[in-house]
Amino acid sequence: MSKPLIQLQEISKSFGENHVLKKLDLTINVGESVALIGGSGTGKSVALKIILGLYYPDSGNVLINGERSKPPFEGFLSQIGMLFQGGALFDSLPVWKNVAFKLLRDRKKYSVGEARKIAEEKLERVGLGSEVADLYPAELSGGMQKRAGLARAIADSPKILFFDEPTTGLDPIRTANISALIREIVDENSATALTVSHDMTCVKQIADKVHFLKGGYIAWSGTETEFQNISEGTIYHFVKGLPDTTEVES
Amino acid sequence: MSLVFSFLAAIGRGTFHIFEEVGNLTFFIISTIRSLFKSPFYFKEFLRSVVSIGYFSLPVIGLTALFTGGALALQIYSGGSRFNSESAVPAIVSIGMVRELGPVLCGLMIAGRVGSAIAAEIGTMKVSDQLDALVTLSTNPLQYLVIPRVAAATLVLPILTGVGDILGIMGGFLVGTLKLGFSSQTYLNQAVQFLETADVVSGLVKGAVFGFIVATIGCYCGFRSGMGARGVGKATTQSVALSSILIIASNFILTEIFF
Repeated sequence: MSKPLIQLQEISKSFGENHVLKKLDLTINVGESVALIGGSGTGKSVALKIILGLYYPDSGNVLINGERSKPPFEGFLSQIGMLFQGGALFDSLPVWKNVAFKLLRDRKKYSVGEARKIAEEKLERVGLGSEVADLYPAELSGGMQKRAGLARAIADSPKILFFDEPTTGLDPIRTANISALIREIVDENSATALTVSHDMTCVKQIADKVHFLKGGYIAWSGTETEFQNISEGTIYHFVKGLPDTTEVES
Repeated sequence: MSLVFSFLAAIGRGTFHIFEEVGNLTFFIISTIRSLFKSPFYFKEFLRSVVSIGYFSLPVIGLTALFTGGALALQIYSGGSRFNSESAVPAIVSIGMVRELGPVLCGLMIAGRVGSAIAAEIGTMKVSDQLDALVTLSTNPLQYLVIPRVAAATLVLPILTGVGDILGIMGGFLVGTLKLGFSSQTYLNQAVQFLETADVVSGLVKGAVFGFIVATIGCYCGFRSGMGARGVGKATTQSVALSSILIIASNFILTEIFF
């Protein structure tokens, strides 16, 4: 069996007195689409940022391809695409240069014309016409910025994708479209994906495996089918939006 | 007793905070200097910074220097007339502008105009995850954002200082000839006669040092910005205050060196 692509081993992270992650273990295998769900402030985005090397854990190990790694994960980062919650487009660049940012850094591989062509294709792919290519991020709506962010994440067709709240702030129709699009892109590229989300509809559509984060560690894990059929426990209450009257399952 | 302990604890926390900030700033400056000589160098970003720091600062620097030169001529004339030294006005204006007022005013104006803008821009990028996005796009934020700005400010400030010096002397010239009764020829001759190369060089070196300070502190405050609009606002204010203090302090040290 091949080594897991990403492994978090007993990761702890605190911000002052706030202990966000407590000995978190998480494994993501090659080709899996994993969703990390949980309430606000449970450390989902922190876990994601630790995987990306944007935060240093207080203790524990991050293993990439089975090897213990320390940030910055330069080789790893060159293979990934990341969609940030708010899009995180660069204000000073027009949309097409945002999308083609990584391609424009690699001028040996792509000319400016080729990079622009790819950027416009990716914008079309996420439902934005090429007419937005020359606009600046401030001229786009929040939903459009998010889709442009998605276009940037997939610009060089990466094999590893990360999505931080990909559907937050979108209307229900766009949510369904973006979720379907993400699933399509992941399948098309046989990509490994990690999605952090509150949106259960999106999670059901995107994920093969679901991890529920509570109290700083994984409180429930299961396949997408198990997740669909869950009928009791804390995660059931979370998914249904009911007050939690149960203990966290072991 | 507990009040005493709380007081001592507050002093201790404050002291730790100061040392932490000094340590972080020192580390940032060392990283910046080391990265100046590393690749990749983002030349387009550098050119953009040269234009925004240099070209767009010309009106501010020009007007400040022109009026300061004029005011300086009036003050020196007023003081000099008390012991019959009115004729020293052109020489003192030119030496004062070139050695002291030109670089310091230029540094302070750039701290207000450019340092604050750098801190606000980078702070906003931090708040909206753009700095993290740069990392995930395999781009080092220090190399992409800091180095072009620091290099541009360090190279452009001496030029702005030179322009400020010339316009400051012109301000003195206009006041001297139009109000104080100097002839154009006499004023210009005296303004240049006593000016030495070392005066000009020391002013330009000061300009380069102030440019480095303004851009580095602006970037540092942006990177250390707290979250939200309040955090960015605080970073902007800190950048102007800190770089102004450092400009004044380093000006004294440099003057001492060139004395």
